[in-house]
Amino acid sequence: MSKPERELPQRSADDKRAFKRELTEVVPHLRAFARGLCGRPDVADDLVQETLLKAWAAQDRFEPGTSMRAWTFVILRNAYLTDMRRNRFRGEYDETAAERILTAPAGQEEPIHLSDMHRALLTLPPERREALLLVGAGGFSYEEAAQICGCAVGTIKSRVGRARAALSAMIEEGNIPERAIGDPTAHRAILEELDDVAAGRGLSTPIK
Amino acid sequence: MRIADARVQHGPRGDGSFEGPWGRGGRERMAGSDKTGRPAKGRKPIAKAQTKTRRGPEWASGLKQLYDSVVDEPLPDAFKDLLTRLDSGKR
Repeated sequence: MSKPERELPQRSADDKRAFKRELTEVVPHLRAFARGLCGRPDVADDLVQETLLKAWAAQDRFEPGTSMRAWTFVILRNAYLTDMRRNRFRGEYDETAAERILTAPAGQEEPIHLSDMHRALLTLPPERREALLLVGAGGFSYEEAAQICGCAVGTIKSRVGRARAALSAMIEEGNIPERAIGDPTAHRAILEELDDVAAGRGLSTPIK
Repeated sequence: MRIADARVQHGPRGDGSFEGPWGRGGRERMAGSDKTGRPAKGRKPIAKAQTKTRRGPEWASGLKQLYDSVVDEPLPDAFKDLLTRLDSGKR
């Protein structure tokens, strides 16, 4: 994260209490975003813990009254991209945990299991995956997602569009990989995309 | 094809108003939600409503379900402990 360019205002005790409360409230959302990004619940939760530590350390840079969810998502995604570069995530998908929370309603034909959905999601390059997660799952507007990802609104729209098209194709053709990122093709695509991110197009500073 | 329903409550949380590329499908689901953005009743035939929306693929609501199913999980103690530790200045 970049250094602040201006004097940070003193935070009151009320501000600090509000910060802790808001940070606590946003944890379930951080877990959901992280789970979507990296698949395995334990790895995702590690990422959330890392995010909480960083957010706490940077709390003077949080502008009271702005979206805690957006602010912490920026921190989480940056931590994720950094860890990805270090190859910390193997992208193993935890099938058992996913099935536990899912039920296939009786009488439905060919249900799409959320676990299939999640595996398909995990094959997407990280930038498209996060765009789709932010907009399609997290309910952020394109504008908010663009701020979180530090890119233009048009870029987010295009990433969401491509992610949607890829998922639609996979799901409609029943062509969902067995093992998401372990799949060599998917893995290569992700690493290629990460090179772009490393070139400076992906990382952003926390928004105010 | 249908989206498998998860045994969780659906709906946006906090500031997460659903305004996505699936446009009307999302908004239709919002109808019937209470002020907190959560649906008034537990199970809802989301997938059925979604398939009728020409603009959104039928799996679109599954993505939201995936997210919400994690949001609705009970928070592990590790997180509460961590926040308490941070607040007391210990690491």
